[in-house]
This record gives sequence, structure tokens and C-alpha cells, in this order.
Amino acid sequence: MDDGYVHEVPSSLKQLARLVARAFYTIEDALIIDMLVRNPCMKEDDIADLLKFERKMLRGRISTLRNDKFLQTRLKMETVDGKSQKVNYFYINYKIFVNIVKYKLDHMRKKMETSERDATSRASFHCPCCKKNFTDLEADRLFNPADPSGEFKCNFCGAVVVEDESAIPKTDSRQLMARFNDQMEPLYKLLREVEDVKLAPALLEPEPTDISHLQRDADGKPKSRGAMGENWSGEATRGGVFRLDEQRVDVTIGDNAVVKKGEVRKEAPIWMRESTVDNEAATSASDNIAGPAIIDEKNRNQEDIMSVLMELEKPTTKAAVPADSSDDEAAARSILEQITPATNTIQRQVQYDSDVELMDSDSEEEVPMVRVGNLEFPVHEVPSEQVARMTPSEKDAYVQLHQEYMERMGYLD
Amino acid sequence: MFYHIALEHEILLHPRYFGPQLMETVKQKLFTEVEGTCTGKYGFVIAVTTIDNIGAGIIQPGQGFVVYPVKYKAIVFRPFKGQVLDAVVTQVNKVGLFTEIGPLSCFISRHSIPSDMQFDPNSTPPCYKTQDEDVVIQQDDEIRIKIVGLRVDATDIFAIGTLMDDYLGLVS
Repeated sequence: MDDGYVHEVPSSLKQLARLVARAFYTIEDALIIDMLVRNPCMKEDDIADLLKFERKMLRGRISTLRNDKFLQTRLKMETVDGKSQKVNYFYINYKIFVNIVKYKLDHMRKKMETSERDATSRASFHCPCCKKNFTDLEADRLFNPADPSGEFKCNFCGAVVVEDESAIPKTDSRQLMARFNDQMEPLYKLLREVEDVKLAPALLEPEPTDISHLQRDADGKPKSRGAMGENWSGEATRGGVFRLDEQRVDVTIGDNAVVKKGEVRKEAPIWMRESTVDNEAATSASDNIAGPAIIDEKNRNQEDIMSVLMELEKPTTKAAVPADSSDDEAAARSILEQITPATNTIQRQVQYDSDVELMDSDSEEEVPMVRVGNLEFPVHEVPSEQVARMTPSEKDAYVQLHQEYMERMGYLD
Repeated sequence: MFYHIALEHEILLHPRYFGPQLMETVKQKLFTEVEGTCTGKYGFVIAVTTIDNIGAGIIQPGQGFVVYPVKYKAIVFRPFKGQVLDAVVTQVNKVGLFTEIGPLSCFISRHSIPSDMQFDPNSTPPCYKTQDEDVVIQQDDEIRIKIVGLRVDATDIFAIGTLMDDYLGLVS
């Protein structure tokens, strides 16, 4: 490895490529360059696929970039549907890229310098009568100090000459130069940074990248990601930021957008405070809004789990509360008590998606809560005086819960 | 730029000057003929410093005039593009400024005057001034200019200058 070569493209080089494309080309060109910065070598079809560009437009853009020598082409034989055909692969040869950028910047500077020089020999006065043009250098011939009018007169026909507006420089060439230096400063800085970088030959002529992991299937979900950046080690750290499949924008309108995760966590869930069984749908909906932006897919997932849990929990609840029970409220509450720990767990799982968190919540949350009046206790820690204060329905539920809890803990068989 | 260089000149003298003051006359004639002139090559001859050699006069056949080849040293002023000089404003009008740098006249187009300075035709004398009248350039003011172009003829040099650079403009 220690042969003086750099074996991954330095980020400043990539930045340079992006910057140049952004600064001097259309957004489409910039996107193509972006693509090739991420995936060193791609074929036209893949670029079109990923960027959702029209083939014709893409070809036009690519040919522009290729004419400017920003893109290099590699012809490769490929077998598609049994027929072998030539496929064009595109890549950025960073060495050439840097040279091109330097060359073009130099050209721009030269052009500006000559424009400054040309300013003196430009025809800036024009005789409307005999159509003769005069430069600034001939001003002394047009001007007669003895003439009180102080006007410039043609030395051929004597008519008053007019200024040629088209010849007037649009901007002051010195300001132009200063602005050029100012605006190109980031580019020059990057160029200086990459001055001594010697890229490995493999980087200058990259092999085609396998981009199958970047392609999305029909519903927009990324396919399983292949091992990224194996041949492109810089991507391992850098790629994370730009991974195509992770780009997702959640827009929440209204005050809820500012609600922070931490605050949500502290807030007691609504089912801890009051019965929600009658308007469960509404509760879960409001809960979704209150929480930080939870992606749809997981939401759906959560609902699925909820329904399964409900089904599983029903028989036990029925057993706990006799079917002919007149107290609907108590039945509802007991269902709630069954569900609460489970939903809590799911909620946490969705919000933090962390196994450690899950383990924690498992151990503390699986203890069912028993309600006495407006107080709540873990089922195994209900003080005896509270048991005495229970209403008959509460007591029924408590006994049921306690049995179940013991069963689960393995005390009873 | 100023140079002290050796030059040559031929003095054509009328026979009436032949006499004891002949050499004095030749010298005098050299001064009047050479000082203040301009050659494209060497620029303006400012002053003759020494007369090194006055050659043998050659009488012109048929007319009696005599020609003396004179070798002398002189200080010359040769302007160059990019040179920064102090100039005196001689004329102000809407197209720009006319200035003089000793013998050299120099035109400064209004496009070469900083854009914050505008021509004011109504003031007497007409001038170029900034919005707040902090800087006013009018006739007979001294300004520092940079030469951006030269037109060099056989016997004349004309310059165009600019005020668009650091430390150019009114010298106060």
C-alpha cells in the first residue's frame, strides 16, 4: 500500500468535482457528476434509472460533460438477453478533471486580463456623419481645447461624435478580476489541497460499480443494500451521509413539529390517566401526531401488532371479567390493563428502535398495573390495605391479574 | 520615466551667424530646437545637459547654409503603460478629463473614473464629484493617474489614463 499512491479519492477532490459542476453547469450535469462521485463508474442506463432522467436529455448532458473532458468513457462488451452489445460506462478521471479545472480557470483569468487590455483599443466614439470610429487614444484629435463647447468633433467631417454604447465595458475589468478571485477562492483552495495527491491507477480508471443496491423496487423501498464501499473504502464513512436510500423528508405542519422526543417521553400516556377504550382509534391517532415523526411503515406495523395483541388478549380478559358482567367500565379497564404494557413496549420500540432500550422496558413494563380508585400499583406490590379498599369489580380484576402474573413468573403451574 | 541619454542632432545654420559667436549660436540653436520636442522612440526631450561634441560644419552646396552634427546628452521623459504619474487637469467634460503630465497630454475617459464620481455640468467650473462632495475633481486640480494606453506617433505621444486603482485620484 505504501507506494506513494492515495487509494481512496480524497473528499476535497470529490468536493471539487461537485463544486465545479454546481458552479458552471446546469443542475442536471451536477446531478450526473454527483452520481459518479458516489459510484465511480456507471453505465448510462443506470444513471438514467437512478436520476429518473430522460434518456435523450441524459445523453445530451453527458456529451457536454464528455466534451469538456469531465467524464471519461469506457466501452465494455456486455451480454443482454443473449445478445452481446457494447455498453458505455462513464467515470471521472480525477487527474484529468483537476487539470481541466486548472486549465479552464487559467483561460478565464487570461480572458479577463486581455479584456482589460483591449479596453484601450476599443472604438468608443463614433461619428454619425461619416461613420468613422475613434478609440480613446484618439481623443486628443477629436477634442479642441479652444472650442468652448468642449464637445468631441470628428477630425474628418467635423460632426459631433457620439459615444458608442455597445463598446462600453459592462463591468469594470478590475472589479471583475477581484470578483473572479473572490468567487474562485474555494476552488483554488481545493486545488491547492489536491495538488500533491497521487491517485492510484485503479481510482483513475475505476471498474464499473455494482449499483444494484441503489436501485429501488416498485414501491420506492430500497432493495437490500450490498456491502457498500468495499472497493471504495472512503465510502464507508462518507457514503453514510449521502446514501440515496436514506434520504427521506418528514414534514409535520403545526406546533407538533417542535415537540421534542424527550418531552414526549416524560408525558404520561393517555391510557394511564383515563380510559380510552371507547375511542381507541382516536387515541392512537392523536398519539401518532404527538410523537415525533414516525414513519408510516412502522406505524402500520405497530397497528398490526396491536390488533394481534388485542386478539390474543381477548380470551383472557373474557375469563377475567364474566361475560354477563354489568360493569362495562371495569371490563374496559381490565382490557386496558392487559394491553398497556404491551403497547408501551411497542411504542418504545418504534420510537427508539434500540435493543437495549427494549430489554430495559421489557423488564420493568411487563408487570401489569392494578388500579385502585385513581391509584395504580404493580400487580405484585399492591399493599394489603389497598386490596381492602377495592371495589368488587376491581378486586376481581386484581385477582385475575395476579394469577396470571404468577403464572407467567413461574410461581404457579 | 526619465532617462539621461546621449543623442545626436544636426543644426542647420544660416551664414549670417558665421563669426566669433558661431559655437555659441550652434549651442543656443540646439537648445531651442531640441528641448521640448518629442520623438516616438525616446519620448519628450526635457533638457539638454551637456554638449559632448560639435562636429565639423558642412556647407550646403548652392545655398551657403552649414550643417553641424552635434552630440549631446539630454534628460528625456518617456511615459510607459502602467506608469503612475501626477497630472494636472486641464479640461473637464462629460466624456472625461483631459490632463497634462508636463509635456504629455492624457485623456481619462469617464468609464475610467470610479463610478461613485459623477460629472456635474452645472457647477462652475464643471467637475467630477462624489455624492457627498467629499472628492471634487475640477480644472487645475492635481490628480494621480495610471497610464493604460499610449499612442506613439513619430513626433507625438498621447496617453490615456485611469483613476480606477488604489491610491489614484485627487492628490491632496
